[in-house]
Amino acid sequence: MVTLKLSGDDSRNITSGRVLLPRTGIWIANLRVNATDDLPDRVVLDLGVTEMPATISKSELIGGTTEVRLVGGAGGLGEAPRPKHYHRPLVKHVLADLLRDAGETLSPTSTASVLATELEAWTTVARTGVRSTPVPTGSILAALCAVAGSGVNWRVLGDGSVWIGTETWPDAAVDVRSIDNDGPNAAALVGTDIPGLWPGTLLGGRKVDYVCHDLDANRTTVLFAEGL
Amino acid sequence: MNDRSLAAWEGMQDAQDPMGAYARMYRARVVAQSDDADEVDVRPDDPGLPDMAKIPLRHGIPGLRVHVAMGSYLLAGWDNGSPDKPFAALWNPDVHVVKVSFVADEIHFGSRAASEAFIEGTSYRGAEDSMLSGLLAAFSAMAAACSSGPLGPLQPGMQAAILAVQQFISSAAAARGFLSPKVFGE
Repeated sequence: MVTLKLSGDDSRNITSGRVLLPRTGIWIANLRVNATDDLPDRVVLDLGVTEMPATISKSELIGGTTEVRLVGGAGGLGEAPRPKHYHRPLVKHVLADLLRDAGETLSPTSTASVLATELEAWTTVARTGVRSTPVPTGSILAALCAVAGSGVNWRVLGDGSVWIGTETWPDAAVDVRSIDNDGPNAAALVGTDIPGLWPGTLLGGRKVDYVCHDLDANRTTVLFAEGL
Repeated sequence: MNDRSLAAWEGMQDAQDPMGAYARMYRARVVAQSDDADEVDVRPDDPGLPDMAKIPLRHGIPGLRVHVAMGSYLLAGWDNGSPDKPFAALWNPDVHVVKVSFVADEIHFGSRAASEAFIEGTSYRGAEDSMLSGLLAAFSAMAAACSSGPLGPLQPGMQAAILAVQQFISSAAAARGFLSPKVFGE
């Protein structure tokens, strides 16, 4: 049973939805929840054997159920950070400030050598211009990865922490059965355990770039990092 | 375009280029400058930007170093829109310049083909002072020798030579030894 844990033992059943796991960025879930009451901002998506801390970014009561959009983690990566300038910082110093301002946590599995990379300088801009357009923390994270080294990437993991580093492409610890294969588009449709397939892993020797778990059909669409 | 349409259009632009903020330049005030004049600390007017310390200063002319008065305005931005490459450039025209240095193998004034060498003033003036002191002593000795006797007619000329040298020394002293004591070369 897939549920949305609210607080303590309080939870609501999820009747349908999709969990979208990109290799870069923030995972999201669009769900229909068996609830008519107000839901808290911070929840946990319980997939059975895996719990995924998340934040409700949108919520709407429709026909006796609530449609919600979850974003992985604390939901602060879409917000503007506090402006700050650094002279010869390490990546981990910039990252620590960005994540603290966003209310997010750094994954201990992040690549140590990337975190220890020294930069010439760094400027975190919050918002600029006549319209005071905010610069999302997630976009600044992406820029930080771009200057931290070749192939450096980031994403919000299933446990809600933010990972930054270089891909190691471990084998996916999951058994799948192939349902369909879309060769020209480097995509596949598989039946699998929901918690076991994550982006950044190898599935049958192919690099998993994007995972979409369809909770209705109990199927998963996989896009492979090929031709990128 | 009404406000709602405009807001939607602006939102699309921002979503398309969320890091566009780094592709612009911002008015900023100099609050500190390094001793070698190559870096400045600035405070941007835009409150969405932080104070930025030790950012490279560019004048657009290689070899030029400029010390400015604190409070001078210029623009701050980033190479290629990358947050790890800040720089400052493009001074306001009302900036008060404290000191300018220009480092180059050759510097030509007035014409690209200018070939007259500038005098190295400090060394030249030192040599000139030595020569003038010597001339003054020589003329004074000769004037004394011409005070009487057959060389007596030469004395007015000797006195005039002494006066001319003394007037030059006096004028040079009034100009602190140089025509332009605030221009230096190597």
